[in-house]
Amino acid sequence: MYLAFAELRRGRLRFGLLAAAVALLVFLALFLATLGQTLVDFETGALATNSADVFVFDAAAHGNLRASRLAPDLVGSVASVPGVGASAGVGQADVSADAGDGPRPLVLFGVQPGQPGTPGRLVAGRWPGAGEAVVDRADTASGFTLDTVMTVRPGAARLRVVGYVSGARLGAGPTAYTTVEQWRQVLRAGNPDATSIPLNLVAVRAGPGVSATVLAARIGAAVPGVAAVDRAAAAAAVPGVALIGQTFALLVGITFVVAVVVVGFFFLIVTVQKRRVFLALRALGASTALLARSLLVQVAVLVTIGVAVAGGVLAGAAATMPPTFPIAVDPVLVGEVLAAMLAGSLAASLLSVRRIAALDPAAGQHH
Amino acid sequence: MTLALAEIRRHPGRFAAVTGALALIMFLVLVLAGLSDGLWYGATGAIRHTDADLEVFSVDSLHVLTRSNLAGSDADRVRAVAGVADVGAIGVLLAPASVGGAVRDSALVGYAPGRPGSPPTIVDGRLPSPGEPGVAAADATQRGRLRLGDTVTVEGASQPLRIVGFVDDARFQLLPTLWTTVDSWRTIRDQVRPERRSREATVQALPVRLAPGADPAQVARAIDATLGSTTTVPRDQAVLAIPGAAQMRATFAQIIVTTFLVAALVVALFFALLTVEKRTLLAMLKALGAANRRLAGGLLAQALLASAAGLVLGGLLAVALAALLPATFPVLLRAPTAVVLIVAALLTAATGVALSLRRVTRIDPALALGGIQ
Repeated sequence: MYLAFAELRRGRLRFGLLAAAVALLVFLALFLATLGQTLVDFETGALATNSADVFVFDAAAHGNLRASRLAPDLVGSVASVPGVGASAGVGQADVSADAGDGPRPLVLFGVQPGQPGTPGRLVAGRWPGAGEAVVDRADTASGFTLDTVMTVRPGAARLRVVGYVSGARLGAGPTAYTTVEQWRQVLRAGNPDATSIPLNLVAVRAGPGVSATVLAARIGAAVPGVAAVDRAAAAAAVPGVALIGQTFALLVGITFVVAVVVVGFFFLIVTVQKRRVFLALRALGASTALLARSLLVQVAVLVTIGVAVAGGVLAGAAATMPPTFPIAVDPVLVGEVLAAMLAGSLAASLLSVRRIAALDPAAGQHH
Repeated sequence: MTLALAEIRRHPGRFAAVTGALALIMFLVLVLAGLSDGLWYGATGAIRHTDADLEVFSVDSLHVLTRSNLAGSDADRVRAVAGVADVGAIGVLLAPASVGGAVRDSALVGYAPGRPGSPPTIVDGRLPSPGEPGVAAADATQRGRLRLGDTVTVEGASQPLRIVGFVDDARFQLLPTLWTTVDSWRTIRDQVRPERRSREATVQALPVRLAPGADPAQVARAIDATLGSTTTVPRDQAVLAIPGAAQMRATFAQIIVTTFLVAALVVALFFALLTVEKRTLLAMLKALGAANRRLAGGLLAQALLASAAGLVLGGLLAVALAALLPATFPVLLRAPTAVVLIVAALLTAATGVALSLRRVTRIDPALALGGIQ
């Protein structure tokens, strides 16, 4: 063991380079994983963290909130299904809003405070009334702060920010929640000719003792022309989200394999280079287990240093992200990556251990 | 140089490790670049790959097509502005569409055939003719799923669209995209988005082609002054406003740069190991009169060869992965991007080996005599 640490101290350059390479690769994997998860959270938060248990879509929308159009009287049909605790219509519109420093894109939801469909986490202030809105806390960086009055276009509705919700974005951009009536007024201002303003969803809270899945199936069977799904399924069906998840998982996987292979190859070369030293040590009585342990300790130390540095670099990268797209270091993710890297790298180092085990101490006598 | 090549020939295993590691890193770089290109081209084709010089949006749209709304009659007023050669019309509807019972989220783009904003590259069949109802051209990525003559129905619309052609590089927001006449688009949109129905025929943007010699900025200002409620921007700016496209591209570029940094470190690491291993041998060559430049050249050649081999292997892996991935993965391997990456990879290898070159020049020939260890 002493030898392992002594060698790390003496070979600072090569072990340092390896630790740097591992750190950068692990940073890449961590960054990609964090970015992917943040994107998914921002794309789906409005549904994933909602207070509703079940969402009812227009069947023709195939789970696409923006494509769903429901007649307002459908709320009553849904409410009459056995097992529904509460239900409310939800509207959504892509508008722009100016909170004082120029117009920005805004996803505007119309909800009924106190009813399902509102975000699950109100973290400051209160729910909105007429002429008011709550915004996602991540959107304070875009100027949507408490008591600010934003002007919504089309039309010129003025909405005062009266509260913050958390994790309730849709489409990774600024997201606000106002009353359904206010939302209707915004849409009508955009098109005064509109003869009807349909809802996008009906949000449902399950009654006591009724599971969301069972209730969704009941609503789907009882109300014609709709598709009902539980909250998680609705979030997973947001267009593009599955692809984002798969794409980032693929990249993280490749990066992880590269990191493990680099560690494995490095120690293989080092083992080959130290063949004579190992032979001499074996001839002096050192066991294979001792030498293998020494190698595996080096692997573990370097990988741990690499992951720790990567976590630090990720924290630095998180600090440089634009405030409108904040990412956070997830200690659990760092821990999982450390465990996976240790397992992968130690497994890859078994090639080197095999080489050490195959050494014949008698051969060392000739050198 | 001969010695360097002979060493690779006689000890291929010694270089296999660095080549293998580089192959995987290049694989990662190529996949990242393929995704970056795939996302960019898939998201922007409908706006980027047209003959329009300017795009006119409604003033509050932030240059985003889906947020914009203009009166179709504005096209005639824009056509009268000095410096405008021609004006088209664009509208887009993002909605699920079905082909033979299979439903996918799609983009239906309405355009004015023969006018600016039309998709320019037909790869099969033809484009809808002016005023022709009920037909569409599909973007070419749908060729495996659609055939000429198939019908596609936007969910909730009564009128199906018959596919009459395929167009290249014409997708919008990574969705399977259908190009139909602006009138057919409006009919379908009004059916599935009843809140958008209006007495006046609306479009979402007006693509403008400039007269020869016209100043784009001046014409854009004149259009906005004439209409009073628009914001006119060059096509490139309209492309950058497509939600998420530019941000995603910038993020991938940063990740690719970091990956190259890893490649440089890996080259530095492995060649440092190989140089240490050959220290005595290199000292002997120096004692026999080999110049530093010659030894360094050999090392550089080895690094470049290992990188080139890594590039080839990584490239093959990336091509294989792109072929295996489902068509929904937006991976696009483009030759111009590959050329840039190859040059960058070789420069990275040269940079990475610099550390070892310094070590080689500092080796004392006396080491060969056994006096120094």
